[in-house]
Amino acid sequence: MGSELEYTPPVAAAALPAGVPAPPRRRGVLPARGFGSKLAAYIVVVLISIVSLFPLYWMLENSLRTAVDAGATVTLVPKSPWQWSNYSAMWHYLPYPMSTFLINSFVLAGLVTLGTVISSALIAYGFARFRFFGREAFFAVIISTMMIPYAVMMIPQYALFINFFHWGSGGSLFGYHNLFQFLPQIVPAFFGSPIFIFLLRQFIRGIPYSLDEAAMVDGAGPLRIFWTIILPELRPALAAVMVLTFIGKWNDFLGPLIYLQDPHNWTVELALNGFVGRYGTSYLNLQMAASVIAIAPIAFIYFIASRQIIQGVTLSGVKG
Amino acid sequence: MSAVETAPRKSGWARRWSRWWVRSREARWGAGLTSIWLVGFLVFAAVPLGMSVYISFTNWVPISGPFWDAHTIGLENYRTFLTDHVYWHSVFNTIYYAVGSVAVVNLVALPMALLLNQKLRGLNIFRTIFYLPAILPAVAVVLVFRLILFPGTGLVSWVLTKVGAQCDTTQVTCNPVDWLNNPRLTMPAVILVSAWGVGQTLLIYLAGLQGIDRGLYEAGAVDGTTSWSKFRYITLPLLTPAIFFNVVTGLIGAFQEFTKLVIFAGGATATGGPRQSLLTTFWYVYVEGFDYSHMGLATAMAFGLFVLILVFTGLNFLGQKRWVFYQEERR
Repeated sequence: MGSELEYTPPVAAAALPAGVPAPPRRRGVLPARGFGSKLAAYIVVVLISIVSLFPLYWMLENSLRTAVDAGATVTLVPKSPWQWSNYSAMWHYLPYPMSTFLINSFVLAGLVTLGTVISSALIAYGFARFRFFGREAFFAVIISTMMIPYAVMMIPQYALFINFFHWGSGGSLFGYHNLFQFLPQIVPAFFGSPIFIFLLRQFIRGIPYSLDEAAMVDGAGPLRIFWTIILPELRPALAAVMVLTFIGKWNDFLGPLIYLQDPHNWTVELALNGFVGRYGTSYLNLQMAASVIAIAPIAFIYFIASRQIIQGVTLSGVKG
Repeated sequence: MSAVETAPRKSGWARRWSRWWVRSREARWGAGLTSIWLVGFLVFAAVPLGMSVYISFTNWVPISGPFWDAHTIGLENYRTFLTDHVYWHSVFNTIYYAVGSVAVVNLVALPMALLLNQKLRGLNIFRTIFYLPAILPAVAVVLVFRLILFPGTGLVSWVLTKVGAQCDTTQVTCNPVDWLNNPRLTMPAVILVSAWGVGQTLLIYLAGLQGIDRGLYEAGAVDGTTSWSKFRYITLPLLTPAIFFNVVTGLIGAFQEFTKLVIFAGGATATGGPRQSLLTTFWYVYVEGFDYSHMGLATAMAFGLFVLILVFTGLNFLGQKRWVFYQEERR
């Protein structure tokens, strides 16, 4: 990504005809002339970095305090001994262990990701590689549906899932009950997401059509071309879509709040909400320990895939 | 393909049909693949939208049966919420949060993007750090900010006391500013928390800045521009599409913010926060629908919010001509 930021040298002064003043050395947009201002820019950037990271440190720090100390005093390092036992205590502070909520979050976000990636890629392939009547208008319709606010969909969708599909309860498997409560969030994901259809269509258009033609000569059908030509080329974009969808669903609070009524089905976000609702402002140390657990998988994914995430966000404008 | 081989034996109509079948193969694949989305849209969006109009005319309570058995009560729901002062209070809160957070986020993100767009070493690392807060789960983020803003003993209170803020003597602990319980301060606090997640807006601005043709600055340098006039007459006009995008999408998102407000108020059971100072229309819709089971009323209120979003988005697009500058396409 560094290449677009390369400094292009100004015209050499000697190359200019006499009388034309040499252009001043061009820097960035803000005044950044000389060592001092550059240093100032670095100081500001480092300060913003501290502001960005400090709350995370504070979360970690408070998760290692005793219940009395948490949030009560301001010390930059928790008093020893550090309370690692907070994590095991927090694990069992709600009716079900934290591992249940983590598994729920992983499975829900994983299935939503799977559905979104498969369906969005296929739909994008349809738009990018096949001409048919009304294609551009249809695509414009898909993009414009992103403007429909969720507020008006929230209750009728609930009515649809509860009254028509009866997904409010029922469905037992592996000791879980009321598994159907997950379906209202998972099933719609298998019908594509407009923003990712847009993103993937752009990427597929960038793949040379001659590759498709070569495969066609070999007698490959559309699905085979998709599988052997398009998908391998699309891997970086798919990675971005996968990571963004997973993070988005992991962070989701409203969807699980509406549909996952059974506490055994709660996601990590709902568990945090339950924690606050149950204990209010007591056990802030355990609350922070639970928050660390909720953030850890996302921070880990970001640590690995920040490049893909940032590229994906920049290209699509989607919120992760 | 077999249709072509057997074609000569068929009648004219069948031949034409089989020719069409072969020729339309591409269109059929395209329409077939893209109809995956159409099916999902019809079932999970178009049908519910139609249903919602009907539900808003009923007094449906989910526990007493499906919505089609509920009584239709005409425009009663609309009359109820339009004369409900809590609803108008929530509209005020919605606009307060949306305009406030979008303004703050953009005012923070733009200078940050300008700063990052300098030829700084380690740009990628800083960009990665700056974006990190935007992708973290809002629930956990708001919880730690509640801790930081905790009245009396939180970090912010501590800092304020150190720099000499007066304590509230009616409280047990020294409590200069009660961000969590003072109804006048809760909303500014949530707006500040949302400003921590500027990463999204920042990336859009950064992409916009990197798309600006360097040659324009060089042309400006020949004319002897100062850095301010460079910013004012080159950078800012060329960045207006990015600003417009951020404002429009930011407003649509902020009008429907739920998680941050709810968690800041203390979880989904805390209806509206202190004196309903955090009760936005979206939250009110949720409360009416899922806490009080007044689904018809909640649906009607959601349409009210829809109108509000439409008005703001429409105004944005109308005002766009006045200030958004689109460069001519060169290719």
